[in-house]
Amino acid sequence: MSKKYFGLMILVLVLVAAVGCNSSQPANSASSAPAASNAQVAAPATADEEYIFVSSMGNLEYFNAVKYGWTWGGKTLGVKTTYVGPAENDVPAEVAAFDQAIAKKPKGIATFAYDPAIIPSINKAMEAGIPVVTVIGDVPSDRLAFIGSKQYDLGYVAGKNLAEALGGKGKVAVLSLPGVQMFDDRETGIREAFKAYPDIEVVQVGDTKADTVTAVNVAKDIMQRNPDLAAFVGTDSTAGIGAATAIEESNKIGQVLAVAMDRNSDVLEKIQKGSLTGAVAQDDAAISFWALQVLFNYNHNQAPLTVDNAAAHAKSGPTLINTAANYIDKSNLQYYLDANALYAK
Amino acid sequence: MDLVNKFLRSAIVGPLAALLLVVLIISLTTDRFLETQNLINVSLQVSAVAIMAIGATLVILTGGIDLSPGSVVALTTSMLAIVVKNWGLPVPVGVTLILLLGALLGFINGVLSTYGRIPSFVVTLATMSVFRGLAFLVTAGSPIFSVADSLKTVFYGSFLGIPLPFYYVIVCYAIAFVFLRNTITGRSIYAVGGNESAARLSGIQVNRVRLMAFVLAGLMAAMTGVLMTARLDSGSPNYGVGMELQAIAAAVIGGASLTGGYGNIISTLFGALTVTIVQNGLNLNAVPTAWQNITLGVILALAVFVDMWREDIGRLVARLFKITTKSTPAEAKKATLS
Repeated sequence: MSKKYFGLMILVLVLVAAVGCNSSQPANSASSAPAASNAQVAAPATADEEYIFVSSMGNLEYFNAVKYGWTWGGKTLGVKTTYVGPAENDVPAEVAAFDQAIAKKPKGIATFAYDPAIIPSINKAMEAGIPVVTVIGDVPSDRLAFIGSKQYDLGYVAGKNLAEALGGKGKVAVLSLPGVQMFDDRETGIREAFKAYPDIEVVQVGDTKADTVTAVNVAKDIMQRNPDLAAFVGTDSTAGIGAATAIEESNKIGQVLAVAMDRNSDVLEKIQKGSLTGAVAQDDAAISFWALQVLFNYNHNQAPLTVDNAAAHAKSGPTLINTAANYIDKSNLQYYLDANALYAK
Repeated sequence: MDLVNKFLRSAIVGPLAALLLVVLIISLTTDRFLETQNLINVSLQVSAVAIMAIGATLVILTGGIDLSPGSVVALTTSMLAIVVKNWGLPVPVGVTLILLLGALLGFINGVLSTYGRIPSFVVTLATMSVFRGLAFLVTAGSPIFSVADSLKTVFYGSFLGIPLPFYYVIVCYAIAFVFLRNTITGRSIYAVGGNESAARLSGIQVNRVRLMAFVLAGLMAAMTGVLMTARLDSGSPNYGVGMELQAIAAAVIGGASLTGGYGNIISTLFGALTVTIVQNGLNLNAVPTAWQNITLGVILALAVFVDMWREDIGRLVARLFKITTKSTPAEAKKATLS
């Protein structure tokens, strides 16, 4: 072979080798780096680094904030974020979306886990080396971490603020979905907050059956039974709308108070009207952001628990992040309302 | 005495007696039940289910079943909210359009169940999902609130001190009663449900009659949707979940036989009142949720039990009251149709 062609061949081989090495470099460089004091090399974030959020019920207004927080997180950290999953409450579709996400080999997956059907997909992803975190709801699986509100905290903030609005005394009725763990936990928080106010008495617990009209009817019946009822406290937004509507129907705005959950626009409207005194908002935009943070740091900033966490099968980092619970009333509601408009764009 | 006999043997007696018994028991457990405010509350609460139950009864009378009214409510409340709030149409126009929509949805159910030869249970099970899915689609999953101030009077208005929804119920039931008793189509509904082949052989257009029942059921569900939108001043794809079961329960407790051909529309109203008053009574007594569900289930089972054993129970009651049980076939048929 002539010198010219030989040189060209060497050049091509070198280029191929260089390209080949680059593309096979794992995102978690811990597995290939040699033992050293800094085994986890903090590789810089790239815009191609993709993180996927697999959701369900994506159409609910609640998820507007979550979606926004996820995208905002991606811009803040300089990575690519995608949001997938069915618009309705459709578990098989969510599982399918999750499996499709795995096929894309992203750098991390965050998922709204509320049904055990998703567990195999989570475990499959973790085994394939894709870190997974659950948000808002959790299922027993190999996921790295859960990020969401602590139900007890939401209830506690609601109870405390209602107690103060009542001046520390009065008869209160709880509107909830008794028997559903998530809402029972909120009720526990509410009752715990009331313990500091001995003149506050919970006289009845009503079942809204997750239906607004049922909630209104139950609230009216409770007011009929307890004509001196001072307030309602609801463990979700349906209970809140139900109580507020019942108060409006009975012409008792201001006489009977009501505190409930969530910062949906219809709940905020009731606060503006005065039929709801306040609502407890979850840190929805932050939940997705902190989920992204956990995944990102798993990839880039794993602390030196061992000299090689992956090889040692050592998990490092938070396994649980509970986000803040905030009380919304007339004084700060506009800020939340404006954010709702922002998320909807 | 003959009139009393006729009354005691008619189809109304059972459900009316059940209702009065329930009212009696509840009044004994709480003195809050018979207060004016509570009776007004109950009349408001019952209106939605009572109107939907008319549609349920009509379909059950023809031997079919409709599982979609709750989803029709979701779609109609959503569409009414969109049409009035987003498109800016005046309320009366919006309401008319939505009632037509309900009739159309009923038409779809009807065509598939009759000419399509698919059992109504399967058709309405499917449309239950489809209609609600459409509601989610048009609202993008969120409720549409603050629809219109003028809607308020539709539900909260009153005439002579009695809430308007009470009048709607009375008027709808009166029309339904006359329809079933005095029109050819109405009487054909009983014939088709009682014995379809005999009805066909006597020249009744069976498919058309059953189709009409579904269209009317859709219309009734749309009316319920309008009432709900007026009450809550919002439309949502989440409204009406499970309402069809309450409507069917009202019809069954009212004595309508699920095999078709037997039932009285007035006693459906008693059935709806029974269901609502039982729930009201349980709430007024602060009965825990679990027991509320059990009570309602037991009442429903009892109602169906009485339906199955109607003949034997009738004979027993008659013997207890020493009323003659010797009735001619003509008299017995008259009792069935009254």
